[in-house]
Amino acid sequence: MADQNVELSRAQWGSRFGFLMAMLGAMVGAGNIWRFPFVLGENGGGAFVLAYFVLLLVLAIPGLIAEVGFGRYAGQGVIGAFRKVVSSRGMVGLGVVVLVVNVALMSYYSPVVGWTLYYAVHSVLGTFTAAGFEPAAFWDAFRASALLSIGTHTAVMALVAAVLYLGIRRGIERLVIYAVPGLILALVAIMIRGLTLEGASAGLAFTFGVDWSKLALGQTWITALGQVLFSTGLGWGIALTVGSYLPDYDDIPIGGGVFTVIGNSSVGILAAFAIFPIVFAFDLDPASGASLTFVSLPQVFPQMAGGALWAILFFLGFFFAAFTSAILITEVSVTTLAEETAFSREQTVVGVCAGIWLLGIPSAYAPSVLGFLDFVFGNFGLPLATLAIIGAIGWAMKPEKLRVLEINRNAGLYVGPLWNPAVKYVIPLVMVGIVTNYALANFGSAQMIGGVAVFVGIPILGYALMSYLEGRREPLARDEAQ
Amino acid sequence: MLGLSLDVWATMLFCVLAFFGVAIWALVYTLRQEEKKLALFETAGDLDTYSPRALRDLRRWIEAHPNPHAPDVEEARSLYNDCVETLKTTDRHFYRWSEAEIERLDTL
Repeated sequence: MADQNVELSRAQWGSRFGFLMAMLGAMVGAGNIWRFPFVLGENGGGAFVLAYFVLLLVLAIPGLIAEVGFGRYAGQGVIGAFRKVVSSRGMVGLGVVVLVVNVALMSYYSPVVGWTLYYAVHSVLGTFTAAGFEPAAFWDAFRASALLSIGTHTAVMALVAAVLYLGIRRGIERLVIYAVPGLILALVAIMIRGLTLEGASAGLAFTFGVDWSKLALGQTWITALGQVLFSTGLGWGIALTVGSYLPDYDDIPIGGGVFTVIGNSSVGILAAFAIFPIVFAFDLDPASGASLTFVSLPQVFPQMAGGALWAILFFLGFFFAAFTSAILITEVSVTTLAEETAFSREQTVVGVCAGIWLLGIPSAYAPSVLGFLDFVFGNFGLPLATLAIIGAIGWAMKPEKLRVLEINRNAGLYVGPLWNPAVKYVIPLVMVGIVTNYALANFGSAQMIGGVAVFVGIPILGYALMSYLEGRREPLARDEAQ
Repeated sequence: MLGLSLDVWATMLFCVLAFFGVAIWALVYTLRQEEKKLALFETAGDLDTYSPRALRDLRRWIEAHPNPHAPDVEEARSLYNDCVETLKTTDRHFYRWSEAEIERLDTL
């Protein structure tokens, strides 16, 4: 009866569009805008697109279908989902691994979202088109100010808390159904402007020119694999959490798989069409990453007709991309901890956001901390979470069971048995390969040691913690039943 | 723009079709399917939950399971039987079921 009540009281997405935008909003992040276009141009353009597209079909779409299906099957957050399929108490700790990785990821992502918020606010204030504006000095002053860095990080976590406090439908869904289309419209508008600039074709030639020799290089495929797995957020617990709120009659393969993966990549391609023509038209360095966004582009807007408007569109779109991801990353912890503790959702939102805010202060204060955490958790923690989730589906639950019970139920696209080995063998092997490659490439460095410590230490911690907590939980459950 | 080489144009065309085209197709297709499901709910009051191939896979999995009384098998059987009953009691279906296929179905 208690279980029935939990099931009845669990929120669901209010509309199909809301679910789709939540998936897209979660996966489209800052990397789609400042990283993807450059990676594309640097790794063979059209040849890279082909490699990337093949890997999306073979790895990302099957993987995300599995994760969303697992979420709907379990109807719970990450720890509850693992509890439903693993056979030992300690293995429930794999859910703790996913939780810890998400909290760590959000702790250093929030300050980055803070940068986009700061620039979005200044774009609205017209700072970038004001007389005497110096982009490099503006950026340096912002990064040197602990007050501004911590202040924007605080503002972001307060905004995240406010949205999550309102819940799945009234908070997240209401935001993403406007923010995600808003981001896409902003990029389309900038694309039209960018493509009509003189010299825009050099940007297109850099990004989309074909260098077939790159396809023979292992590095191109490793980069494409990294881009496929990291930009789609596969196995981070986000798709599992979003899927856990998906109504039974909804489809998984088209919405959770094809649309999310291809839609997310489309935003990266759109950013390439929008930004690189501007970058080349104004002779900027395309390889400058974050400084391209925060130093070079603000330099360009005053030189464009209607520059203030383009600056607003770009920086608001950029903020939406980063902020919607932040919302869904934090929701992973909120959903899980609200279920696993006696606290209400509202109390959990406040607790989780306060905890992440506190943990994020060092990253907001010191760029070196942010860089270290990004390397360690980006290259080791996130693949670990992916291995935990895909491993649980492939080896504890078995893909065939998930396919026949959940994936093909009410599906808009039939998923055949060939999907099973992709989930059971291919994705885990690729993830192990990627982590090994990172470890070897950085062998002996502090980052590599930190990464290995995360890769080994967090699962041990999770195993020990859940062995203890689940052991306590069983007598309690028995007492309640009596 | 006109000076761009053929391979650049080909890549851009591929990107437009394979990414933008597929994403827009998937969005429109899935939203239309949603409308169709809602319309069926309103008129028939119920919805067939599996396509012919998916229902065959489900039956095969149930029959091949070593423990016919496992909770998951019970749940799967219930899903299978619900779908069969819906197909037999409704005239309009979400998936493409022929009369002959429905005729051959029986509950487990």
